[in-house]
Amino acid sequence: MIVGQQKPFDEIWEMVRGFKKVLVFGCNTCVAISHAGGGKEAEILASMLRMKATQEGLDMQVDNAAIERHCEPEFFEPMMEKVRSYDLVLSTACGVGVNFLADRIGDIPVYPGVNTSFYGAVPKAGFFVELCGGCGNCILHLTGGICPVVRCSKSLMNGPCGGTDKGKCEVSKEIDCAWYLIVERMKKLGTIEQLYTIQPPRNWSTGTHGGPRRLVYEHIMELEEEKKG
Amino acid sequence: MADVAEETAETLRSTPHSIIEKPHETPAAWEPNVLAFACHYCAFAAADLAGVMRLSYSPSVKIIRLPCTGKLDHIHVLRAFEQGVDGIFVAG
Amino acid sequence: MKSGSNLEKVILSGKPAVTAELGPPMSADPHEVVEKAHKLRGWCDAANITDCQTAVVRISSIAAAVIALREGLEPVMQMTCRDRNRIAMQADLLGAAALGLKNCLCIAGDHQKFSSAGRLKGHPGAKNVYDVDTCQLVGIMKKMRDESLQEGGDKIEVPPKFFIGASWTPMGDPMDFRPYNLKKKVDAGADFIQTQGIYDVVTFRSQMEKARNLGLHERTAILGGIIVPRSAMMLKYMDASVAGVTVPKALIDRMTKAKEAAGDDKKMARELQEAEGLKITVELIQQILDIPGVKGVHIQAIEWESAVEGIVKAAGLYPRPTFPAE
Repeated sequence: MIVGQQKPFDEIWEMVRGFKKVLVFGCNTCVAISHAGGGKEAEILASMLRMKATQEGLDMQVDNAAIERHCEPEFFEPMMEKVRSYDLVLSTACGVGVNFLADRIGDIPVYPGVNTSFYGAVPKAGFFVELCGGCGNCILHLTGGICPVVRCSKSLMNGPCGGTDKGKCEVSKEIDCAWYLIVERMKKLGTIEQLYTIQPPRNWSTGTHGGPRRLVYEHIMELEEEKKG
Repeated sequence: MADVAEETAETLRSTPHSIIEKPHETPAAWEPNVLAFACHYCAFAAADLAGVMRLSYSPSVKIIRLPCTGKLDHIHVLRAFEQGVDGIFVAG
Repeated sequence: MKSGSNLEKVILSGKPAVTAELGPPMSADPHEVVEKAHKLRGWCDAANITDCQTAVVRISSIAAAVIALREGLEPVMQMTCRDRNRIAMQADLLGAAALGLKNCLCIAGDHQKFSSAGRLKGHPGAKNVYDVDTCQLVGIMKKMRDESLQEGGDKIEVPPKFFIGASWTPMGDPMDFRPYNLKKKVDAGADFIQTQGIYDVVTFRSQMEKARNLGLHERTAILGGIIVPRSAMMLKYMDASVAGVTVPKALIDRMTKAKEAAGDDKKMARELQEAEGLKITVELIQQILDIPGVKGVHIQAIEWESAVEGIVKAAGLYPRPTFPAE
């Protein structure tokens, strides 16, 4: 899922302080799981903003709302009329949600209340780790299911660098060396010999380096058109 | 422990004054406006019993009965502060 | 002859090769490079010119290498994968070759967060590149040299002829994979290898045995890395904090003894430790050169270039081989 982290309150306050009527708009999917921008977090943030406005003596209306998903139009279409009645939407969805809303909302600004951090998992409550970089060209079958693109600090493709120390990365003792994990796991799987082959330079154009990405399924689009038409 | 205290004091010294709220002068007659969230089965029952026993407590404390304090939500607390309550007392 | 560099000639001659290291300054003043080059020339076959080591901005490796070359010291330019994509890498390789550089060492590079282990500000917020890794960079350089082709397949009219090097951390984790890590670099086309600093000769010997079993010593020239120790503190720091480096207790004890022999006299403590450090260095060189398959040593006297002369003489590696001009 997409993991996010709420922006520092002071940064949010600087964004919103000039507006009269603000909607804090949460998303109840990924960012709700990471305690950053679900309906609950939006509600709390709205309350804090109201208190701040009172303290500063500003006349502001701050409301909150949330929908299940900010990345599909079906979910927020029913809300659009309400959303458009505000001067500012402070979205606590991930960056996808902020963009998707900004593309549709018209002349009302949409500001981010959350820093979208990474694609990650939750090994235990309150602990999130990045496990995929969304590079568009998966090689996990070659590396024991452990991603060197995003879990190795240098995205190395052919083995560890000289910075591995006791299984940890040179960037931080908190970070496991991905190549240490890959080697150890592939030894267990009996597939270590796969690692002896050189991986040639990658085609990074499937990632963000190829410009904004899109994916088109024409048969599905046609079907939808037929249903409508 | 001495180190921790020292560190805390140092942090406070080095923190810009602008981000620390200035303590207000408290008027002599001022009493805090306190909201108590009490569990129906224990704390609220105790408050009830206090009433039966004609015990008195400050009129600035208002009690809200909850079926269980586990039902207390962040927003109840925040709303109370927004409305100007000075302190929250949760008993359950 | 692949490149015609002095280093390549020495290696081909079968005599043990000696390389040293020259760290460029954090300044636009070339004099430090010139001075260091004067201290090193004649005592080694080539000197590595580091490429923003520890992720701190310094005179670029290529520029400093050209200054060294002008001063009569053959440089080994270094190229990290941290700072350049394959376009910049190949452009720099063409440029470096055009400027007369003939050796290049490919390395991943310290991560930008490293910032000289926190001693300097560095640029921890920088964006890194890592478009290709060391192995792939070696392959690109070989393809340019031997096939006159760019990585993308475009033809190169006059190819850059580099003697291609790569680094090896024989004692890094996961240790049983390290010989294969070396094999991949050799398969990719590394003509010579410089290792991370070695103090634990016993473990290095066993890693070299594994490399020999893979036949790597015959396909590449492995130069054992030696970081000249200056103090007991430096040895302890490297043992505790430098990845892939372990220092046997006996060596730390020797340095500590040298330090303690001076009592409270700080100047004498420094001198005695430096003298012991030079002794240790010479012993390490001899032990490492005795290991079958080792073709030379890479002596890193960090900010102590003047020590190289004495070390090379004491190790019996002087005079360095010379070759008639073509």
